[in-house]
Amino acid sequence: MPTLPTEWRLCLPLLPSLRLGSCDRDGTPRVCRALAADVLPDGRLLVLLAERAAPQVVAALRETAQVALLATSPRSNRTLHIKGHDARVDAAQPGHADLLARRRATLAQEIAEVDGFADAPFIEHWYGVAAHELVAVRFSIDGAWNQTPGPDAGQPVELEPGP
Amino acid sequence: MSALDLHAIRRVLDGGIPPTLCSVSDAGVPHVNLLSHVEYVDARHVALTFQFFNRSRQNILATGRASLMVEDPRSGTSLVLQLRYVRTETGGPVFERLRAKLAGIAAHTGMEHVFRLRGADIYEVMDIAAAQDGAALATLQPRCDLAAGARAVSARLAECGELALLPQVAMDGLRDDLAVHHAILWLLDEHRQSLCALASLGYPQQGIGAELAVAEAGLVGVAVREGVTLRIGHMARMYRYGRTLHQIACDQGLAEGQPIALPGLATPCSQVAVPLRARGRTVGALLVESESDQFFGYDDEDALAVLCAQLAQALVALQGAELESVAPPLEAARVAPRRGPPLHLRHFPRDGTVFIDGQYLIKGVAGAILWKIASDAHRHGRMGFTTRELRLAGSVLGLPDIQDNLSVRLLLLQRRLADWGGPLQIRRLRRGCYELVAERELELECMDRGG
Repeated sequence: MPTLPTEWRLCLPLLPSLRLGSCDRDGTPRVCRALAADVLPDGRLLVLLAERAAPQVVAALRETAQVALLATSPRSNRTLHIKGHDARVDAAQPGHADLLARRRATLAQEIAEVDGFADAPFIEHWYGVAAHELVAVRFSIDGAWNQTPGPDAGQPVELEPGP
Repeated sequence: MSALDLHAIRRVLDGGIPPTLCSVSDAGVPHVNLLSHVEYVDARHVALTFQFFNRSRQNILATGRASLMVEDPRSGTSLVLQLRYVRTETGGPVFERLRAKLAGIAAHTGMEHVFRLRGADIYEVMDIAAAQDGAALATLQPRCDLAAGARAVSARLAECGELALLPQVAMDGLRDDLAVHHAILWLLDEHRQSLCALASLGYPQQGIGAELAVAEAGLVGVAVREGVTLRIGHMARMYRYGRTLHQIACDQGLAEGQPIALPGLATPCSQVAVPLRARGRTVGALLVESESDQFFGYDDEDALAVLCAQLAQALVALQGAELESVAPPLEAARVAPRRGPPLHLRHFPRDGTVFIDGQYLIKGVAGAILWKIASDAHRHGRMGFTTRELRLAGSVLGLPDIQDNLSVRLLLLQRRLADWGGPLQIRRLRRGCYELVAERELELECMDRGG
């Protein structure tokens, strides 16, 4: 199973602003904010969402399994786009709370540096999610693209063979 | 359309948090990308920038559908808009508004070399949904009560019956009722395609009479050219004044003395430029600015656009009244005691430029008017004059369409002389009737076309 190369695997935790897209059975695009992402030991991607914030996206993922994740750094504008077609949605596990807290801290720090205000109210709004509202999306990586604004935007990332 | 109203949520479109667009290919593969901002067009349409021929554009052209997420930076509330692609515009008001904002955002983010607007993609908004149950948009704390402020300014403009008072009424209203701290009121010279400052607010020098070519006047120049209100919320190098007046004077070989310093903030972060349009023509423009990012919003645009329409109508109506008034013949004006050396006026007929004692004063129609009344005073000792006789002397002044803007040019000249504060002034006696007040003898030098 192909996965992200080391450079981008290490970079992903530093791209804390996340958006997830999917598609209904009738072809309607759906999009929401995602809260955390990480590469799993088997090479797949794990993304955490608040289901109450994105019921239509979660429904679309369950319908079609099509998924696209955009991960960006507000500080550097470095951006990675990852796509898959076998997304699975499950309830989050207690162990995901730690990942959620780490990504929240990174995003809050970047927002404070870029926009000059700490404790932005929207951070609490996004991340103040009850454990039972959190869902985990897992998918195999079909392709990835460097979407950092500039001349290389849209260049495909060469995937590595997974473990 | 859903229960949520596009007009009510338009402040969220400005891109405090970059909006997210999701499109889908024919095969059902989603594609997500970030946008700089979304432009409100009307209660049913938005416009997005078309900058690159990328996957997103391919998808939209193929399916005509997209999903747009915008987030309120005050509360974090997410709104998702379902869009239907309608068309792409490559010119016109919406395109220019998008281009102005894109330039501002590009400068703010250091990406001027990356962003280039190819078109304005117009979308119909089919549905708006709040993504998070129970979450409401945070109440926007406005800078001031714009509706009440605009009403107060409008009432004072309506009560103003004198052309000479109109610019100051407008500037005072912006400051006192709309919490605007920096503004410039520009007059358009259609013939020369230049803008001339008639009044300003909040700068160390008023800069009355300072002039800029429309093509070099930054955001306000684009607003005049396109006849559309423009707003940017970040510093935009592309829309700064292109050159200083001094450089322009040097280029034209008129660098004798010092030009009028252009009013304006050195580092504006927010600007709104509103064309002054009356009877189907642009007569000038208002520029308001701030050193704070995102200082002005859509509601400011609306309030200023309404007031500028009224101001433009008042300018046209009152200058017409000045011309139509029948002033009785003037008595021979008494010559005031004159002390000191003569005041030297140098005139360049090719563009009406007048220098006084080597210092640039004014050009264009206003300069031609000054030269005529100074010549009459010098030759005939006649200090009084009427707008009516100036109108009749239009061919002497050698400038086209002078009756269209004579009174307002005379007002500009009067205000410029007052701002200069020297021993030559124009005093208004009554409607349509004026007097040149010279504290020193006049000495005139005409630099004719060969000179």
